[in-house]
Amino acid sequence: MTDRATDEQLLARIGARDADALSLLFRRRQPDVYRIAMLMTGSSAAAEDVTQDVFLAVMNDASHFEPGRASVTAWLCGIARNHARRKLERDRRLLPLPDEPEPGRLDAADQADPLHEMSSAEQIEMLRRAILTLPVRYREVVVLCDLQELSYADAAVALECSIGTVRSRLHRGRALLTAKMHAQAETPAVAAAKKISRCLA
Amino acid sequence: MRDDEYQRTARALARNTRMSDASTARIEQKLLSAHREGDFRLKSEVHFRLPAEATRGTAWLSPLGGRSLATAAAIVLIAGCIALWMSRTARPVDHIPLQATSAPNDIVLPVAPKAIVPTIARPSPGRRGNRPAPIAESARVVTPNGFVELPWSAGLPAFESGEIVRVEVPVASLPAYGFDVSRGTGRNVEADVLVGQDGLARAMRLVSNSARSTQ
Repeated sequence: MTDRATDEQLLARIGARDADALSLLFRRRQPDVYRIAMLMTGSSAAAEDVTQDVFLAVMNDASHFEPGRASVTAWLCGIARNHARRKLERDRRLLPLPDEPEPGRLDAADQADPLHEMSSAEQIEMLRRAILTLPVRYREVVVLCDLQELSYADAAVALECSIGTVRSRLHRGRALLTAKMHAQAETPAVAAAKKISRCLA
Repeated sequence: MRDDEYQRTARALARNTRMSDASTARIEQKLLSAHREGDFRLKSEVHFRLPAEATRGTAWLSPLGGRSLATAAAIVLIAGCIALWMSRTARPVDHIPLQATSAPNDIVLPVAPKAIVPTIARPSPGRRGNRPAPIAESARVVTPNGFVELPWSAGLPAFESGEIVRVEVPVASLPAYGFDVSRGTGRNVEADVLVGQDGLARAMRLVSNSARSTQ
């Protein structure tokens, strides 16, 4: 088994009960699946559960994938989205404990400038919070198109809707997101960051 | 937030959203263990199909496919209601309230069943809405052995087998079964009822004195 095998080839081998192929596909695609699950549910524990469920489903349903109809990524994103929605439905009555932002997860480029790092981290956290407050139908399209960077066609496959629907939901989702970001902009933390920024300028 | 700033922040958020190495290793081990054991019990009930497959009837396996499932259930329910309604409207009457009796010898036959009645009185007029319209006069059938088809039997399944039941009926009720009665409405008269394989009456003939005496 080589790292150069395509996703489609790996899926075919998983369908033939090849454990190495499963391991390889998991390592290659779990970041995508986890990202969708995490941004949809807002909980790392739920996202890990969803990731596990997605690959268990892949183990079982790999032979159902038909190459040429959609990319493996779109297929996996569709499974992840369905599992995340199911998880949200199941846990709706539970009060979620928001995960703390992890300060050690910033890019090296950002870390070079502490002020930039702080400002960037605030913005990222603000965006994450705003995404989680979007209605699910807009949240999933924003996650798939703007964060996962799927094409409209792939997003339409993953969301089981038309491309036109993807476009309209994305437009509406971004508008909602902008409004929420503006509403959050004057929270105490951001105001403090701006104040520090002005003092150091 | 400007558009480019939004894009940059979104990319940064995507990059920063990743599973810890410990969790990654743990889940991979679980998956491989399940794979080795062929144990897919943890497999979620959620599936995903490509749209073309979904049109072949598997989309309802997805969580949102519940909407499709509900639609399908509604269609089945409506179809069932329509079928039930049609079968009820096709049913002419409930069982004819006739009682089997022994055959007394002194009953006078008021009218012979030789003629087809132009206007057919129907029992229980209050329930007419559930019954078919009165059959046309030409649709009435008088069999060679004297049976007159009951007015509402046109909507019944074809007669395949059955039996003849000797009953006593009030003369006053005979118009409802398609017989013209001009006198003796206060009495009872004997009649043979042809009951089909489904237990529903199909035809009736009045028993003449001579016929009664031979039986």
